[in-house]
Amino acid sequence: MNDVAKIEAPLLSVDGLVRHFDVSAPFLNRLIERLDRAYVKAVDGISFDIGRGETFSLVGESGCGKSTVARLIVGLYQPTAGSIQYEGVEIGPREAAADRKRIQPHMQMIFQDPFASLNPRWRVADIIAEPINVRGLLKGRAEIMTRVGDLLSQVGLSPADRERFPHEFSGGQRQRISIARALAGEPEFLVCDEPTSALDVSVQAQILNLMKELQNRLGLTYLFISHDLAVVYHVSTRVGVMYLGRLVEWAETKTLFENPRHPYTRMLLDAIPDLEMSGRQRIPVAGEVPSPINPPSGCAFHPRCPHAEARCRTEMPLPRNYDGVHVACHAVADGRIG
Amino acid sequence: MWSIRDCALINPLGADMAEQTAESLPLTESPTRTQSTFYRIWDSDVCYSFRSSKVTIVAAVVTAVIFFLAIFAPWVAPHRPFDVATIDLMDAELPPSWEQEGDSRFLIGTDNLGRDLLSTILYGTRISLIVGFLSVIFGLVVGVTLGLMSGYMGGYVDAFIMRVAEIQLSIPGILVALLLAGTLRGVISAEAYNEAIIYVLVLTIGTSIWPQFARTVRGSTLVERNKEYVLAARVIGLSRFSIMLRHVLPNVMGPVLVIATINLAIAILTEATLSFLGVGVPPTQPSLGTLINEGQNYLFSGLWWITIFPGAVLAILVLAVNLLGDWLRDALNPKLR
Repeated sequence: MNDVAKIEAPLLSVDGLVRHFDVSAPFLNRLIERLDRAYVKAVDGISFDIGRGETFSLVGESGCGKSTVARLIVGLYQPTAGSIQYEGVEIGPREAAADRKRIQPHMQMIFQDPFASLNPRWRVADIIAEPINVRGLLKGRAEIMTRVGDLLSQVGLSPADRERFPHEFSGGQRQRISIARALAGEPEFLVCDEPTSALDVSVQAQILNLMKELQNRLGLTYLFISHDLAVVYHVSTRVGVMYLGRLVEWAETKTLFENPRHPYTRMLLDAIPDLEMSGRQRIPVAGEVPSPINPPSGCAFHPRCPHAEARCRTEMPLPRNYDGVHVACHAVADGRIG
Repeated sequence: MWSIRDCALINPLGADMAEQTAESLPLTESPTRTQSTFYRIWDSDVCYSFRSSKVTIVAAVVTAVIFFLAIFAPWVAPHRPFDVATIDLMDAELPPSWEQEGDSRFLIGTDNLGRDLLSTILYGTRISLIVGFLSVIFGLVVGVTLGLMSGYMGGYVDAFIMRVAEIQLSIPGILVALLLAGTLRGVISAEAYNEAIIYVLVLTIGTSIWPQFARTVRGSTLVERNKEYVLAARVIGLSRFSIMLRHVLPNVMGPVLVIATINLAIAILTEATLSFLGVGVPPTQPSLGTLINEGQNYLFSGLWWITIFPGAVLAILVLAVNLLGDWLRDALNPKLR
């Protein structure tokens, strides 16, 4: 049943990735109040491949575990279970720490909040030079400063900005500095955790265009995390839709946007505002994301799904491949919708 | 039905126009100018709160004068109270010069050994300040190091360090100092004890104040370590030690400065208390506390000046430093303004 088609020689391959966070009450409270241990199932079994040079996007509502996936991949969190392979080398589990250390320089991350992601006490030159120094790519202050100047020009800032502090820049400019820092380590793979969601719409466009241009020029591969479908449509090759720690649908961007199969994907696309007043029938996004501590039984989406039936409440749907579109939904499998 | 054109936000992203605005942004200010601007802004902010508080100005002037006189005591003091050759027992117990029996050579009188009280106070303040500063530096280094480790590493390291700090806080510092000094006095010779006593005081006072530094730094570190710039440094592959030292430490030092100032006053006071109780610096090289202790034996014989003057200097010094600490706390924490 679970015939997930694999990309030929993917750059990054994630299989059955799980991350639970322990949110139990302290030991004494558990003992006296007879509470059980509690876990947030932030990521609960996710598999996908990212091919070299493509942009894979993860979308979903707040709290669905997108950022956790990003942080698992760059090694900020240890996975509870599952594997992460980079060019076929396992880097997920704690035992693979040596391989992780070797692979780590190939990856960089761009963060969401440009006001928190730059150390306020460091000059821009030192911030951008950090990956160069850590990797020992260049020796000599003068050489490093020239490289920093090049990087700043690459991201549309002036080499003279080296001597300034982060607080002297606007949000968009800071995000450019973040990108310059990420590029300084000469990575192949960039994890972008909502890089534009803290920016104005016009500045978002600049940053996205910059990222696209850099991708073309340097042959970068992106994992792009966002909740903004317009942005995702603009940048990605393929898109995965997450709901409560699981991927419910993933496909080529065009296919997914033109012909969404999963009821949740349809709901998300329906929520995009529409200037043409087409009078199109919408299914409003109803309800809240359920608690990931105690997710609904069966298909986690069933309490909000207009197509749910008895089976959805008891049995967890597994992702199935429909001509390259992967969907985890009983209704789609049964041909009731889609 | 699912047309992309419906997605209104996609098209207005207008790629070309956006790029143009990026180029035209004014980003080329000279670095020297921005640097001086930065310092001017920083300066004026704290300076303003300094200038607008008369109490702070007075406290700063008083502190500066006392520090200056104490540091330059060998040049400022009219007599050399530690030089036995210059002391004459015949001069002992002279009242201040404005009293009837006063001697114009000794402005505020002499102590029971015939030392000029003003000079002795200046030298004594010097010892008090040395012990105070060294104790605070010791407590600061230990506390900041442990607090940083505790906050950044978390888990068992954190639990262990914090429990030790709590135990430390539950035992009064003076008790520890009394115990340590008392034991030491029994173990080593009197001369060695007089040599070592300053270090013992620094150690005991420093030990009693490090938990404050540790707790504050731990709290700030817990906040900083989840900020994205620390995560970015981790992704870059910087070692734990470097992240703590180069990223977190500079960002948690603000409150440390305030605690250090307030603790300087407390350390000076603790040293005086210990010396008063007789386990501090010896009467041959008295600190303010020792002088007060010496003087209180003669208080009811009418020799009030031996206790009152060192006491007043101590009180004024501690008050001034405390006021400076309060001001610093308010000035560096915009939320309290």
